Amino acid sequence: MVKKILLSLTLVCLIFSTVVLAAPGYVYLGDSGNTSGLITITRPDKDKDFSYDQGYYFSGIGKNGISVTLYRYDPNIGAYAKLYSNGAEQTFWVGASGFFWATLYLNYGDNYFIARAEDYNGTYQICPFLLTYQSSSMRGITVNFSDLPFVSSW
Amino acid sequence: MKKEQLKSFILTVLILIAVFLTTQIWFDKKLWPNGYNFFNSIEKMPVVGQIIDKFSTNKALNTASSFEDIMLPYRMIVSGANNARSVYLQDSSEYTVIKEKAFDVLDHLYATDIPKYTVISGGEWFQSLKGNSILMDYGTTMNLKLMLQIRKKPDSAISTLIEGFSEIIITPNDTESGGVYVYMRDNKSESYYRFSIAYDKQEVRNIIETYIGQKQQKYAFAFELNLQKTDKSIDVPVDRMYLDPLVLLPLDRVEKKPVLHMGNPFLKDVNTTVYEQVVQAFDLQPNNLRRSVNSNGTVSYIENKATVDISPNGRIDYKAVDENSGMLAETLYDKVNLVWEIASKQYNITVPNQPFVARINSDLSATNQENVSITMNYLYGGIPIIVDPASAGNDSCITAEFSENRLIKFSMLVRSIQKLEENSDAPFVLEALDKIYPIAHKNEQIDKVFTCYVVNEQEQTHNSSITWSVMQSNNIIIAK
Repeated sequence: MVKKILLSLTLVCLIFSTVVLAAPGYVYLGDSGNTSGLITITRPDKDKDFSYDQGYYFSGIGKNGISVTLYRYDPNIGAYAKLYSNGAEQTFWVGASGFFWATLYLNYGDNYFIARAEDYNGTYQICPFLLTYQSSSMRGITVNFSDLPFVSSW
Repeated sequence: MKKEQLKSFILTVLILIAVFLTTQIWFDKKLWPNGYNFFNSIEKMPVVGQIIDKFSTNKALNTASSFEDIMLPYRMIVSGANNARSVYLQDSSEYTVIKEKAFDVLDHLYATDIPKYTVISGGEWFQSLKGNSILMDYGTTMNLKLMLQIRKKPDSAISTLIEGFSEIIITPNDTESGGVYVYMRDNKSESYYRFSIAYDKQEVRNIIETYIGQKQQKYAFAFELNLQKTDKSIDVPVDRMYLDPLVLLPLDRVEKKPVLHMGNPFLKDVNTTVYEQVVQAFDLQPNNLRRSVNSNGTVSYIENKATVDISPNGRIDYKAVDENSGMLAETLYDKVNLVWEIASKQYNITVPNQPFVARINSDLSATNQENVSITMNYLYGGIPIIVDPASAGNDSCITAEFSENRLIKFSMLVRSIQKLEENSDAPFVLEALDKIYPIAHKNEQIDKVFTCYVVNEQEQTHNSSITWSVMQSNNIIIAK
């Protein structure tokens, strides 16, 4: 009996820890994180940018050991879905230098992203940003950015 | 009759003795006065020298670096649409084609009596790299006048604007006026210039389209990632490193490169002739020098004007006794040429079966050209081979110092370089920066990030895999 209880407790702990450590599959509107100062996004440097190229360099500075996971807003779900690249989720860990970067592939028009930075103790920071992919024929034409689905950090 | 025969006999003997003594004077160095070399002075005459070179059997291998090669751009970076970018190093055929076109464009620019130019902002200069462009990255500061001399071109009006530069950018001019733009930055005044020349922009476009390679984003400049020092406040409480805006970061791992075996040619028994040839490369005559062997095995040749030490770890050191005694080199061109000549001779003497491939890595833009330091590193596959500073106190394979236009010091670490069958990956650049972070100065710019091979002066033979290094405040830090 004692053995069964211990085994169950072990299983619960293992399952619970994997749930806590993995970044969630979705970030819902209104979630603005529970801390700040884990990362600063350097590009886009104003939380909004537009691009005439489909590939966009996303970069930033973070604390050593932070994990950063990227999400894109999916209007069909009404939430930010985790990004995958070649079947692997786009999560990376910040090293001692603090630098991180990734290439994001944009759809035409507005692309709403979130970078979710999480510390080992479970505190996490939400950094939203908007990237608009425009046709190169629109070079030189000013575009007004549309509003984000949620406004907590904007 | 007997008298006549005797006279003929004596005459014949005298003639034979005269011929014998003449050959002794010409070919036996022991009979030469101090520093005299009849053939040396004849060899140096322009026409005779060229004839001798043509029939010489001691020429360096064809792939060795010529004098012009040591001043070529470290790499050519071709950029195109969708942030696609490809990098070509000195050993590739693509590099040669791109270089030839780029130099053709530049020759047009240099030949213009009154070049049309605009002073631009730094932002516009960096912006030019984001579209169709060819970046000639020299990796160090070059002297424009010297470059023109080496390429046997007359001085250009542009050298009054640009004293020292590290990069040149060439783009097609897509405005109505057409032609080609050449962007240059004067490192001294930190002024940016855009020169406009009448050159067929389609030729430049063709080169870019041909050599842009895979139309993917494989590289980004630090300024494109905003990892240079900016005014933006960083909320993260970390001591930052900053990158020079033109540091080029591969977004994926760089391709595999061969592992190299570095060997000390002085490790095995070396014929005395080799030591003498090493000394002769400094225009000294070994038979006129006092030779000694130190307790650590260093062979020293001491003369009134200079000493030459050849240490068993493969280092050759020349030191002039004082500033008036060293080898004379009056112009910057003469200095660079002298260093190249001595270095290539020494390499051909000590590692005769391998070509001497190297390039300059020191700043050549100093105003005071009487007192100059010149450094060079070997190259393999276009990748520099540096010395581990922890093993040698400096990071260059070849260093030379001039004072009052005289060579007062020359130091060269000689190594044979052989490619092994195995290849290796360089670590991802981000991992390398993470390794370097604890050692680097915080809140200070990292000026260069580059792949290299490393040679350890204390190890007589060792294998070297490609790795990353950075330069910060003129110090090299290797990612170990």
